[in-house]
Amino acid sequence: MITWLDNPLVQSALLPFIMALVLARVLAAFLPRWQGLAIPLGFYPAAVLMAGLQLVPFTSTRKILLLGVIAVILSGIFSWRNMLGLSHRFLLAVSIVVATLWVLWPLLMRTDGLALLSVLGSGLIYMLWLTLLIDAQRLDMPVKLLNACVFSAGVAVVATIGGSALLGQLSGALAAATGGVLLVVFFSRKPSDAQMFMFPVMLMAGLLSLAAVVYASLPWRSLLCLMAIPLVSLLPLSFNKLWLKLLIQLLLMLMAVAGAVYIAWDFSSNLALDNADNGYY
Amino acid sequence: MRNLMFFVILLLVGTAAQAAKESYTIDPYHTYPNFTINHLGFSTMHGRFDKTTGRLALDRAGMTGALDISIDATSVSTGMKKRDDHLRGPDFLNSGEFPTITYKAGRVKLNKDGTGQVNGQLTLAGVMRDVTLTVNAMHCATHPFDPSKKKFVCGFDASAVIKRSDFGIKYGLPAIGDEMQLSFEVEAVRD
Repeated sequence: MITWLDNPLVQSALLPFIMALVLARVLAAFLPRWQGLAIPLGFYPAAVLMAGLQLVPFTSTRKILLLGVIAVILSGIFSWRNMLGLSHRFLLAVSIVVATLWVLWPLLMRTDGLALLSVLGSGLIYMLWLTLLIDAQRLDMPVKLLNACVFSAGVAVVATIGGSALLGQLSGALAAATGGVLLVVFFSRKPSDAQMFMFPVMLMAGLLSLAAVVYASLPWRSLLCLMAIPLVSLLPLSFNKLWLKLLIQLLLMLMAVAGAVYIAWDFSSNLALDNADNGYY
Repeated sequence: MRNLMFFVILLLVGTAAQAAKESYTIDPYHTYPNFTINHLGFSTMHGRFDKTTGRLALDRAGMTGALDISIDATSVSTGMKKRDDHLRGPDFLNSGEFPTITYKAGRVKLNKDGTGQVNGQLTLAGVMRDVTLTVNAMHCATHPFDPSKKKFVCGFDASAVIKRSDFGIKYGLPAIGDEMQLSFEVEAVRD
């Protein structure tokens, strides 16, 4: 094994970014409709380096990676069959509910009463909000990609602070791969279509952040801030220049990320202060 | 008549064998499985699990037995809450998904000097591996503080060196040590 491939920075940023960038450029030339496929193609090699190929033990992280593959296939089928509108959204909603239940299952098995309703209810509302809000809107492709990229990057930071380097690194790789495609789409003169791959990206990023809350120690309040990111892309900003619109949206989205990071950091510092020492590492 | 005698002998042998095998319940207040691990090459960090339950079956005459220990993975304690939370998370023990660590051994072989060997399976973070514990010391006696003198206790110190990567726990490798010493200091009360 080449040792530099073990470097967390290579795995969670450089490798997925460069792979997605190159593949998005190639797909734009030959299969423009499938340009968004560069996101999973850039992400998964990095994910395999981080989490391995084995499925045993079947942890929530491995479930999320498997769900991402299923979501890519589903998205391809939806696009191929031109499934849009209510039937498409209904199928997406059902898929999100099933995926969320599956990831939360080990916790739900040991929880009952109000605690169970609270975890299940908030988890489902969070996931449906994230995925359907982006999918349902008629937004420019760069805006959707920016949304997914900033959201995944935000999850990467808060998950790492919230106690899981693995979940943070995986989200980082997702953000980097989405960022690579975003760059190609932004500088491309042709209209692009990466729409079909927004579902797997938002599904995986959402589930990774949910796992950071229920299986690590990220506070729920952090996710509330991240939920504001899809709303930013719906703001009626009318600028002639796309780059200006993206810049304003990026700044607003970063404010939501900053709020989430602050909450996660504050919570984490309080844990450390319980011991009057924050020099854990 | 011969059949009846054969039956009586069988019954007596069976009862004697049953009497030889004693059943014990692990005392959670005097049993704290613990571990040590190298920290970045600087020092050795210690940690322990605060909640343990289990059973011990012992044939003191035959010097054999069986062991079944369940450890609450969420009870890990290193003296710092933030680090303990990290240890409970997906990077290490993943206690949200795998709340119990178990050690099940069907073959306990003891020597007269109190040492011995335990061959069993350790399940950690959802992965099961064969782990052989070395019994460093064992002592069985009536509890000295029990006024009725009926409480009979067996205790032992056993340990093994495991590789956490064998259990899929790879965070921080190789900076944070792969090999960790796992120690079981157990007291069990006869039922």
